[in-house]
Amino acid sequence: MKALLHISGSPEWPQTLNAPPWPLLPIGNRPLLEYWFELCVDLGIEEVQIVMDDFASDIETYAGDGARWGLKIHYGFEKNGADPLAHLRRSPENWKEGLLHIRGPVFPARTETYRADEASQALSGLLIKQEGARIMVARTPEDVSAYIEGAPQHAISGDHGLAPVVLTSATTFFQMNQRIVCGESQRYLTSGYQITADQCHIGANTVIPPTAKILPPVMIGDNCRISELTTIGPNAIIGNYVVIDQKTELDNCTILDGSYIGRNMEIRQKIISGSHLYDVEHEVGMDMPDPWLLGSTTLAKKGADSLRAITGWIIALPVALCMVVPYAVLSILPRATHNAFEKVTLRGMNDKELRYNVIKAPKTPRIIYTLFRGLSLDVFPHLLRVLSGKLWLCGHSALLQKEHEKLRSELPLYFPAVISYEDTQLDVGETRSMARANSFYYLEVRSPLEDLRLFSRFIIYRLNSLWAE
Amino acid sequence: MEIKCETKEGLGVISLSGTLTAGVVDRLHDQFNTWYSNEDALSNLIVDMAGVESMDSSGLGALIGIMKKVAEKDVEMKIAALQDKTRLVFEITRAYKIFDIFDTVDEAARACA
Repeated sequence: MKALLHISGSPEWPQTLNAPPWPLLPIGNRPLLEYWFELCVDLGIEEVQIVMDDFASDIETYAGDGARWGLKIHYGFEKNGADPLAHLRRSPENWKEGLLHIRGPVFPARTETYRADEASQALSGLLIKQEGARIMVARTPEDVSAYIEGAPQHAISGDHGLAPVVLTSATTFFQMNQRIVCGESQRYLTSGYQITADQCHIGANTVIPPTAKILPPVMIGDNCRISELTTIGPNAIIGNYVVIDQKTELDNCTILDGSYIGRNMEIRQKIISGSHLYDVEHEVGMDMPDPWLLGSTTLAKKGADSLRAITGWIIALPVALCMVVPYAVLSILPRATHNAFEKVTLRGMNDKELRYNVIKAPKTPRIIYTLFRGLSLDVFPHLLRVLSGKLWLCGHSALLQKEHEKLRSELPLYFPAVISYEDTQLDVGETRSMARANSFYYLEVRSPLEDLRLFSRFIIYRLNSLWAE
Repeated sequence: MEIKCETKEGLGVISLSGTLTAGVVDRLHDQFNTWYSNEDALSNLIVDMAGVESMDSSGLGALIGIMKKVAEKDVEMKIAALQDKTRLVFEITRAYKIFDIFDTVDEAARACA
């Protein structure tokens, strides 16, 4: 048996969401296409042909050769609007051993009676046909040829384990996600995984502070940053690389990958995809032209890095100028009162050695030290390095030459910087694993806007510490 | 952005239309301040948002600024006739908890009576 997955055609509603291509739309934080592949595996299929037109590169990047699922994936192309059966008719002998044909944004929703090991026996016939979307399982050569020739087919009735849902609108997409978070996720578990009793799924490398309240059922993806005093759930699905700012409440919502949600917001019955907001209740969508409310954490990186460098330089110049006199005056005193500075050797840009002056905390609290740090004067020499192009303003915490050799070898890109997440109150990384998590997180979300956020948080954090002292 | 400020029988009405974003809030402030400085007998103010197609946090901030200013003279401010998209901004920012919001200007006017 082989599978033909037709992902040509572009329904309008995913485009209005500014979401990823519809085959990669997340249902329960996993792309729709993955559920199709799992159905193929359950049916004992090894060879899969994907027919596509738009967004071919996205699909190919995601699915690759299919080895991840134990499948062999071949790709074909089709003009938009072509007869979906024409591709099958071109080489009917290909499908004589049986065919699974999936077309359009249809989710193979499982019922309670679905058993993966029985699917290859239980599923046969036209499982759904609605608004151009369909799932057809033809087992015998006769069934295949009747289907290919276009003989009329009727959807089979009864509980055979699947109750596919055609995603006809953003609302049905939202409802399907709600079904998954509200308990159906366990129907899609593969062996080796289990669901915790409290229905709270939290992905890898996601940081949640103690003051955030998580009310299950919730699903939170990988590499998310949840800020203080937020309330997440119940019935919230949050994708990967999502940043949620302080005091925001989210429930009954679907947040897609790479979204930023601003401070003190209330997100209820909504889909958010980057800066796009969709209100499920009133079926209204809009782009929020305001990065303080909603935004994207995954901007195009190529131009963004150059822009980050320019932005960093523009910020560093006036800040450094303001610090010249206070630094000149106050740096004398720590030197005089205790041996305040020590030199460390760090990895600079292009892994070049960088001698770095670090202020040491005195054994007993000293006003000068508090003032020095509170006014961020300890970063003054490093700001000069930003101006001379030897450091980034915001980025990775500069790594030690020897101690951090392993982490450096793991990072595909390295942006040694004056300010990093470890320097802010929100993302304090006390452990090496946190520093590693922050380093990878920054690689994904880096942008001029993220640098501005990081810089402003750093300044506020330092001034707060001064005030607290 | 079109801004129209008028007084009808002691009721102030600011009618806005277009896009209420950072680029126009200064003009809104200026126009409002000029008009409001000559209005001593106002007891209620309605902001008619029927023509506002979209707004951002700056626009919302401008409305909060106006509300604070009129509250100094015990003038009550009401928001009327939000379009779907602008209503979303009030909803997600929790601004609906700060303002009295009405479906139409007439409803808001009746509430002032």
